[in-house]
Amino acid sequence: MSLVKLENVSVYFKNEKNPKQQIGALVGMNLEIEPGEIIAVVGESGCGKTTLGKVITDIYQPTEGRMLYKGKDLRTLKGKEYREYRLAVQMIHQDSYAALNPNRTIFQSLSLPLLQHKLARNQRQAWDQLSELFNDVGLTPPEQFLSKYPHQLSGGQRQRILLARALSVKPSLIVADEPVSMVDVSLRISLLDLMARANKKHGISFVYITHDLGTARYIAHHGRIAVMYLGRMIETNQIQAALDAPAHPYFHALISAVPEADPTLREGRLTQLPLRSFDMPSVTNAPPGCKFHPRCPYAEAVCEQEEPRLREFKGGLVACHLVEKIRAGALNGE
Amino acid sequence: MNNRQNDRLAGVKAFFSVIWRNPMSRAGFIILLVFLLMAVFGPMVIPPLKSDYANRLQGPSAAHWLGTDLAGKDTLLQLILGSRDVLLVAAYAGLFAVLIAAVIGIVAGLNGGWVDRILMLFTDVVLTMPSFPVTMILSMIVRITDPLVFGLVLGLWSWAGLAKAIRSQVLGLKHREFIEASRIMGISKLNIILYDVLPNLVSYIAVNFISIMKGAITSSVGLMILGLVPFQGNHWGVMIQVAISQTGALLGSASMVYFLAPVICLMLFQLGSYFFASGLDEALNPRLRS
Amino acid sequence: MPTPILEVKNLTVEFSLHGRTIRACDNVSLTINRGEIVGIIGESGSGKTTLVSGILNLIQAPGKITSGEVIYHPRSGEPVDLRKLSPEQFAKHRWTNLTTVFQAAQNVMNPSLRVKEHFLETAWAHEPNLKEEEILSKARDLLSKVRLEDRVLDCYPHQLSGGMKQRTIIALSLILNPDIIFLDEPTTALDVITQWYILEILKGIQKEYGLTMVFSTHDVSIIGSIVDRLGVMYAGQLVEYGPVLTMFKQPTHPYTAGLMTAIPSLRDDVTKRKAIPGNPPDLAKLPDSCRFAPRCFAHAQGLCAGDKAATERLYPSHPEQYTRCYSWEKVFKS
Repeated sequence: MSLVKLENVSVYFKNEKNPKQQIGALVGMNLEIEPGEIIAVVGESGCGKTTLGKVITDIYQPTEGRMLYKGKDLRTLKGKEYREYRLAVQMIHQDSYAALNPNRTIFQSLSLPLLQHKLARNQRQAWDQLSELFNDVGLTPPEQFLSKYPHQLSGGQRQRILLARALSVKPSLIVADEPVSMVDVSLRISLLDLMARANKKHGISFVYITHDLGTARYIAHHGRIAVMYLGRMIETNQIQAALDAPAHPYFHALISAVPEADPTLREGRLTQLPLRSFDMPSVTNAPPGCKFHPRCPYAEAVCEQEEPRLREFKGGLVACHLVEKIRAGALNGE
Repeated sequence: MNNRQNDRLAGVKAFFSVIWRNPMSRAGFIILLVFLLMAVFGPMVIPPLKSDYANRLQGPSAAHWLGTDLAGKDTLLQLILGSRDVLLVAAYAGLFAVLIAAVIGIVAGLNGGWVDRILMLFTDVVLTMPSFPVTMILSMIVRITDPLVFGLVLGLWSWAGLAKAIRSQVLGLKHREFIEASRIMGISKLNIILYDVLPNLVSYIAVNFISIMKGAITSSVGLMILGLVPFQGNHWGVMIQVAISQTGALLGSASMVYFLAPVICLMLFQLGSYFFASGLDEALNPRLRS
Repeated sequence: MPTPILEVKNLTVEFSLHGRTIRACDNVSLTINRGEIVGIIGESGSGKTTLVSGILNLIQAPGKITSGEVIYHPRSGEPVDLRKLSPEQFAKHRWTNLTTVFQAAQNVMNPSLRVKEHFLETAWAHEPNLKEEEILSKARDLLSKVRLEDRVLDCYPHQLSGGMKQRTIIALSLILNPDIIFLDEPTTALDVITQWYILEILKGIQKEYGLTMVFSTHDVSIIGSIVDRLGVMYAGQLVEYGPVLTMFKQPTHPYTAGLMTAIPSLRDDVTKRKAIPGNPPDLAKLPDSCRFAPRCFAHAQGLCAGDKAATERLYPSHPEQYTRCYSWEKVFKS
């Protein structure tokens, strides 16, 4: 049985400028997260990946569809059962400074959930538990960090504290929303390694949300990837297979656009992205049919009329009418 | 355990060092401290107030530093005795106002929806009522005999502006990531209010507490000058009222000192409050401290 | 044959805070040649933004440029030390010879002015005699180079997306035919695909106008896409400088080497990635040794003592490459 399952989940918001219109931040999302797996959710801004994270952590409720935790509809969970879910599914935010109370010390902030949920019986126990956790995430000596205020620490240190905080309630799943994008580049891998270790050691599933394909591949290299575009999942597969042979034209364009640090590979890069326009349509102005068709170089009439559904293709799922044709074309050299 | 006690001590020390560092708030702090000591300890250490008709309406002298009043009682002693009531009334007013404002502001801000709308409607009505005339009317209806009741009456009309301000602070905080993080960690609503919201409001509330106190003093003095409050104590307002109505102080007689003394004390107190409040925000904000 | 366009010599910028003085930019010297694209890489506390601000005389209190020369070599005429100019004299160079595009430049636009008014005002501020039609025709030309339509001229900033605003600012910075353009984090906060286009556009403009470009960024992967020469900054000092190819393949400073290994990409060997240990430098509490020593693998292995005095100058390593690591031969002998 999967840990968390999203069944046809959609989240619609009212358009403030045009109250009759609904904005689909997330549309028709189906996703199953197994215990112990790492799944990377990638896409650009407005694709719905952050909304997805907030649905999984019950900050947003689905307008349509339902989310299951351990087979049970989340909305039917009450009392103790909901509390079990609440502790089992945690989040690490992108902005580590905004995610910590600026007026409380780290110890004060992190001991509160432990004491409230009786995971620690008193301050002394909370201190000991947190010290051990801090040692685990490389914040040594722990006293130095527990007694400080958030503004006295660096971004990388704060991000480790967020990880420790999530781990302190013994979760089964952690949603990490761009956890390293505000951390120095030289430190990002160490943070990702900590998450990978937590995944291996405690079997915690991770949903790693990012726009950076490089870090997504690093942390989920044995896991899956889900590619989002304008609120819809348009491709999903094992990550290495997806990166080696992207099926959806948007994903293909995205991979080609990722800058490559190695200057010797500069000549091999495309001088022209396979896209008809640069700018992403806004969620309020989603085009009819396939949401990507106005920018797709392979679009045909059917793409404008009918929105493609996710279907199986070479071991993964793709939402594209013409995927067989396009892939065939690519194999013949472009 | 040691670390947390050290934390608390360090916090208190940091607070006072910031107040001290800023010359304005240092001056304000000293002024308020003097008044506080005067109010708390003054009445205990001074000799009892004696009427001495033979020596009434005297100017300042060695025996009576600020002269005497209508009944020959020493002005300075009255000032000291009166300070206790002045501060008590102001403190009660501030306390009631802040309590009501905080509860209404936080509940409205956090809940939103119709709870918010109803509370804000109520707040707007109170806000637009002219507070001084209403307080005047109230004081005619309610017999104000002790500082607590007086403070309550004054506080009743001072909370509305602060409630709105607290509500907008809470609205801003509500969507901050650390509050969302607390919700994801299953922190109860009450704990979120106590530990996440309140600490971020403390400096705001403290600064406003001081200014509500200031306003309460002015109102209380105003009410007394108008003779609307049958206050029995030695409040400075009473002294001013007596000075104006019964001794013709404003006409430039010898009892000028009797009039001026409480007035100057009032001004000093206001000034002290203002100066102190100016440093409070910095002192209570951990980011500005280190 | 490279001719210098800008020579920075011993530039130092100090900040005084709470009675402490920190050197955000410490004795930095480098030469930029006409027509080349230079990248300055650095993380938090590196001083790269301060360096660019210092060159352009945009340092504000409590910061102060305490020493150094910034010699600008115009196409015709005598070289001039920009630091010796008065603010009015310097202003003549700004925008006409040296322009900047800062991070979040999108917020620099005046929300109450249309785009065309931005162009007109900027041009007239420096050359009041230009005719309106002259300026606007040049503006249209520039906008087409950044792949924006003419209609953008009539828009207000809020009507443009983030990527469009960034392109507008780039076009705006070129209105007076500058010699050299500084870009600080030009693609941070932009989506991957938008970033790709901005870099392509910049490459195109550079070729067409023979511009000299200086990028300062923390995004190491950009260097592979566009840069000719690379400078690496750490804790306020320039630690290595040289042609991008040899810098990438044969770094001669442990920090540069660490950076290249710490960035995950799409094609590398995931198991070979390693973060740089330790924390970013605290400029107020610098160690009494080589500034990088606390995090340096060579220092940890005993290959180098990390002597401070020896790091006060740069040493030539490979052709055209300079490093601050005095033990580079020992450390990088393979």
